[in-house]
Amino acid sequence: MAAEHAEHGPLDQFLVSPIYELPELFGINVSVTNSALFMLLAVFVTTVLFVVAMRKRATIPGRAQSMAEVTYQFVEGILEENVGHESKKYFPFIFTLFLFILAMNLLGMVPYSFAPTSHIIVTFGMGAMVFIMITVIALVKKGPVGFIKHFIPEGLPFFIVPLMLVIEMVSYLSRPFSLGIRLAANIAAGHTLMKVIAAFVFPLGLFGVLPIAFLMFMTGLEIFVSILQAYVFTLLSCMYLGEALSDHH
Amino acid sequence: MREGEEQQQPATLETLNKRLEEVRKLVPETADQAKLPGDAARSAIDFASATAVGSVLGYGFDVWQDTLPWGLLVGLLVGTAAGLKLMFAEEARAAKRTAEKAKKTND
Repeated sequence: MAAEHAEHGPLDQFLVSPIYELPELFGINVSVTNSALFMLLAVFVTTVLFVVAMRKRATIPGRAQSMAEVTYQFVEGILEENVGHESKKYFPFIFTLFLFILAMNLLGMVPYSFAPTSHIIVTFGMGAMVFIMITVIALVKKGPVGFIKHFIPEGLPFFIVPLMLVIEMVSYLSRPFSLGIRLAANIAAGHTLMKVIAAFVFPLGLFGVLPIAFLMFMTGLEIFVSILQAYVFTLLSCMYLGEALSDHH
Repeated sequence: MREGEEQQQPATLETLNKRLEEVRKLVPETADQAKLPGDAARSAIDFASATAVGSVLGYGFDVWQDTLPWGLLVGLLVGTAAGLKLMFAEEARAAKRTAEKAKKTND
């Protein structure tokens, strides 16, 4: 690949490059990259937004406070519906997860920015974290025997049980992968498509208006996808958590 | 300014309630019954990742026990079965959700 072409390729927006070099820590490169920078920025932006929005604590919320409260209630609703009476304990984690993904997705929509959620390693990392947490919770709540029993539907003929157990195990193990791939694929696909369409603007001359119009539509759609994918990731985490805490299959 | 706001609050709360009620009437109750556009794609990714995980586990067994290609074949089959099971489960869940919502609106 020639260097000059590489600069304008539709996939170059996903390049991770170090911004601030740090010495290696136990043989691992811990330099601050653009990906890490935007993750930090996501944390910073959400924290500032929420602290500023909730500063007044008014009975009748203003615009910013309404936004914060609606977001809170939205996530609370998802959690309540899927987990039930024990949901309050897990709310801080789920709410943080939702806001972190949402902020990264939306920050990625700013021109010349970087979307960390377009990288499978980031999304899979979060998926694996949720998966391990939920598995540990289920193991503690149900014990190893109850945990295995959870995989076998009731009233199953005994000779199918081993086969069913293997199939259920594989589908259980695929969860963090599907969580991570779904989020990263959606974000990466949207950003790539926008870049490809943007490349048509100048070569088409006057007719370049058409791809610009389509890009405007795409931007709206991508903002919707950003919110939707944050919602889906949260919803699935809540569903898995609800399953881990429920007594029956 | 703060004190003035507090004095106004009762009156404003009432008007806020009235305005909220008016707005709520405008929102159709069946709005959340509609399927999200990501539902089908979700099942597709579930299926693909289950197949991949099954195959990789099978291949891992092959490398460990030197039984290529049998582990991979069995893993692929098991992964596909797991993926299909996930798709059926998701479809059943969606049907159940729709039935529950329909029951709620009928009541």
